[in-house]
Amino acid sequence: MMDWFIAYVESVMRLAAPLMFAAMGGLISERAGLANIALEGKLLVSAFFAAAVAAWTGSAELGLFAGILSGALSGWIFGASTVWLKADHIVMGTAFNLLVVGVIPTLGKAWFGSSGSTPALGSEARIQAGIGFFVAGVFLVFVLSEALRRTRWGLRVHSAGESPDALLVQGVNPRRVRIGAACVAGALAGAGGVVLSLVQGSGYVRDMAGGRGYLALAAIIFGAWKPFPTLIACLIFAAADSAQMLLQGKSIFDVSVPASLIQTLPFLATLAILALRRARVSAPRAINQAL
Amino acid sequence: MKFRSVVQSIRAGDVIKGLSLGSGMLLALFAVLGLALLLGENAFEVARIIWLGAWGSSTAMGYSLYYATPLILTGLSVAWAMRVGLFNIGAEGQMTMGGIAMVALGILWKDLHPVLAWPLALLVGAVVGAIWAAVPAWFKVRRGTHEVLVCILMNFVAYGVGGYLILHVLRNPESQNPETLEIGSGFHWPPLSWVGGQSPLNATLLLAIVVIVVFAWLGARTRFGLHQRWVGGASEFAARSGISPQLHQVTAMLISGALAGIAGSSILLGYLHKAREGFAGGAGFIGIAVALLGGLRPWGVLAAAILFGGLQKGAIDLDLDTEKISRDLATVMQAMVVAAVAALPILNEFWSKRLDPSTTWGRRLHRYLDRIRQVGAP
Repeated sequence: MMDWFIAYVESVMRLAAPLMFAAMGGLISERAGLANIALEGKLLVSAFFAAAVAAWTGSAELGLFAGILSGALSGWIFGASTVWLKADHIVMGTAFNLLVVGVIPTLGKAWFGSSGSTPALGSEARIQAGIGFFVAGVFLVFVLSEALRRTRWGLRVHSAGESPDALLVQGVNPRRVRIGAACVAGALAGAGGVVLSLVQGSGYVRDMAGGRGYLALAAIIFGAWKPFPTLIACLIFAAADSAQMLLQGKSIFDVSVPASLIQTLPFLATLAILALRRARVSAPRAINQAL
Repeated sequence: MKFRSVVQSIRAGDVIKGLSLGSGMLLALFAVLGLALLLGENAFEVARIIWLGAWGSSTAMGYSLYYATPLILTGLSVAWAMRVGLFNIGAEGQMTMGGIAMVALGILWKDLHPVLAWPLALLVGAVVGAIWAAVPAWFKVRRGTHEVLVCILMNFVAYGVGGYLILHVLRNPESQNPETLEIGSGFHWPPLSWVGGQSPLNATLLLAIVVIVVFAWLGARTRFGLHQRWVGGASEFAARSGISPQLHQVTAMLISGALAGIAGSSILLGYLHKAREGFAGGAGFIGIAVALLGGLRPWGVLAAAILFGGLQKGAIDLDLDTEKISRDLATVMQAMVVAAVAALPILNEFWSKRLDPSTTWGRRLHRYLDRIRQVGAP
């Protein structure tokens, strides 16, 4: 029983890591007033580029670097295009996610001859981190919670989401703050993508984020746009996710549970949690408003 | 004289709108062909393959219209919700569940006569789609959760539940493929071979067009449609006029879900006569691009859906006829179209500045429009 429990907790920690990075990234950009439905796309982009670079160079470090860099770059592309084009953030985010779904297989076919995936990586090109990324993620939550409250950058991010005009009065361009936050968000989501393809997986597989970007967004909403409650929500989702993985192929009371039904568990858990709480009360005031 | 009066009614604002949309679409097209060029393909060749693949023969045209049929319904579904201020990104899940419900009915009640089977199947699909859409509507109204998030979560639940129903409950045990039993012949919609040649194009295209006509009338000519648009465009005004925005949002979401629920009919009732896992094939998501490109208007949705159906068919030929690119290029194109429509405010601003009456070109445009108006005068 104890072994089983320890294995379960470890699996929760592993599965929570990409969610936590994506959620913290999303939290920064949402606090800056940039609604970030594009998290899913950023996870996919960085997972793909990390795996592609790791496959070419055989180096896990370069893969990690490429993943974070591609995440930051795609964050910039999403942030800059949304802010400068004065577009609706949700529509632009949908466009970004669609773009990623189309571009990755196109690049995959051109580079690796396979439109779905990158070549499987050997152990030297993967990152053997165990729960290292989970620890790093928890550390990140502490840092972020302090940074948002006590640093100049954190306060600017906060104002860009609550009242961009106040920033203008101070001589700070809220557009730049938002784009900067989008870059940081992209880099963090990029780290999450690296965990998907280099730590948990061995290479990129089509659609490997499997909705984690959206779960991260749900975690932010449930966490009322605050780092620690968001972390808790991530852990709950990860717990449902690893329960789902444990239950697959097992039978409960002699009734075998079909995999496809069990896979809905994290999403049903998310819906149940969201149903418990009124959300709009605590959303940043200027979210999804053009500047 | 209808045409002349239409031409006479053109205002400078319409010209600016048209230029914005046109330039946005051109930019999107350039971006996609640029990507093909970057990957070492001849951009003109790519454009030619897509065009001929889509409209080169009557069978190709039939396939394009066949792909367009579900897009007409999902596009209208997304557009109707968006006009009321809701972003229904859950059409994919609603289409999946509605479609499975239609097939389940067809399997359970095999010998039903077409007179009853056709409307009943559509009704069941619409109701189940609406039920699936009721969840985000409830969250929106009662919990204030953004409908996009709940819709996406419901999509994932639909994949799981739909997969379970297809693979375990309704599965055809004799088939090697993961697919359901066949529906009764009373539920089959006939093929439209006089238009589509050898393609799977079927009579559900006519159904989709009828739905477009009905909703064009409902949106533009009825009090209900007007109130729906008030809630989307001027919710404060609507609320002060005694119209409940929440009630109208829920209604719009249910209508949207019902439309998405019957969107699978062309694939399931018209062609396959059974359900396969993943039969929706992204039509719910492409519906977003269709709705935006169609300007959220029923007739615009019809035109955009036919365009995108052709794009989808033409892009399939890229798999065979080019070395380096695949049908995924169609998705890139759809994404760029959505981005271009999202950028319309700034394009509008750009063209308004260029065509302001104080500029040379603006003066010319206004003078030209004035002349048209005078020529037509009695």
